[in-house]
Amino acid sequence: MADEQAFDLDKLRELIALMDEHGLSEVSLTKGDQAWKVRKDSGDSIQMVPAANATDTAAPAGSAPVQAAPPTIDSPVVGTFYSAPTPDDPAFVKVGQAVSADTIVCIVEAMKVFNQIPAEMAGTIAEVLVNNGDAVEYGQPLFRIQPG
Amino acid sequence: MTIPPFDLDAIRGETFVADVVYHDTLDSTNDLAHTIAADGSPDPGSPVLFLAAYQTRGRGRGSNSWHAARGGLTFSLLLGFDNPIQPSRFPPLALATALGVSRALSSRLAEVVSDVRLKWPNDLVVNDRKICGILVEPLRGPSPGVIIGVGVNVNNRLDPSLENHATSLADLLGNHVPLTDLLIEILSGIEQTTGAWQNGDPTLAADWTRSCHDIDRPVVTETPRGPIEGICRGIDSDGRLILDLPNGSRQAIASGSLHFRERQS
Repeated sequence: MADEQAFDLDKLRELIALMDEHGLSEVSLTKGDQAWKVRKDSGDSIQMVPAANATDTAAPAGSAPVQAAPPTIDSPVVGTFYSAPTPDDPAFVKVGQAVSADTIVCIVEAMKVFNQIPAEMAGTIAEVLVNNGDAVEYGQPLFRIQPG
Repeated sequence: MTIPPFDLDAIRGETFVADVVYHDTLDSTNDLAHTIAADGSPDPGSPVLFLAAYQTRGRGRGSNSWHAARGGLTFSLLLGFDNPIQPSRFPPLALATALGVSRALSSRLAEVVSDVRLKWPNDLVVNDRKICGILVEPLRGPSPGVIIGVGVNVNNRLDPSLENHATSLADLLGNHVPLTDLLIEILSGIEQTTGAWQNGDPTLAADWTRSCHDIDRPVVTETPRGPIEGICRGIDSDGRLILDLPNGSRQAIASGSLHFRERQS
């Protein structure tokens, strides 16, 4: 786990400025054994979440590469991920399937409210990042999508 | 032609609904509301009530069905919004609706029972027995809106298999309850509490924790990932159940059910 105290806030400010300058909504930052992903949502608030596998992607000490993360469809709510309308139905989408912004890609259930989640971008489903029945957090990536 | 057990003009005239769609028998008022909503954007200022004397396939949560014999109250409200609603706001809407219904039922039952309680996440119970279920479903299309389905046991005969788990207003009061009057009272309660929800009233969360049936009780929550045991400490502002776990940690649960336990005789 990265040590938050050692994280350089100036670098973070620089990163946010770079995001604004280049119109990026999400970037990954890796430094030594720390890895952070910074994402701006539509309301322009900024979330920082520890990136997975930090040590696997560690860059050489002293460098702070900034890269655009592949776009993902993120959960808008805490709840349970369902890939299909019912256990007997096929999944809403599968890898390789083209989707439009309105295509329903999954359900996230919270307190018995079944929210149908649209892709909100056009492209092709590149990867399903969670399993049917998984608990998901707010903002957790559910699908990786290849824009187009 | 069957005479409606409701005074539809009174419902239109004395409640906040702009229109009433009534059928004697329907599969599900929520399903009809979805069908109508798919044909056009719901007007944000004009809630529509879908009402049936008898639902053959009323849906409860998940695949559960709502036992809706004649004499019960089953309806759905279609509410439109000016702007899209974040999905995280719908569970609190279900709880706000439950509070509104609870106030109306509490008023009716004031002389015979002490309380109508909220059974997380979307039921109302009296004396540990279910009297009302609520099912909130966001609209499936691009139009911002929601359908709130409500089923209340009123004058309907309950299935004997539910004897230990369900109750009705008529059973509790010992007499028949006029459906139109009750529906108007319930809609008035829902208008108040859903209005408070829309305005972001911060006192709502305290109200639903105060109404929580299982507050400070040991409970077992069945979740998609297995049962979780703990002491119920209330319901947070997002609508999640707060449990103190045996290991001393506190957990907020977003998905699950608190099952009725067999009553001790």
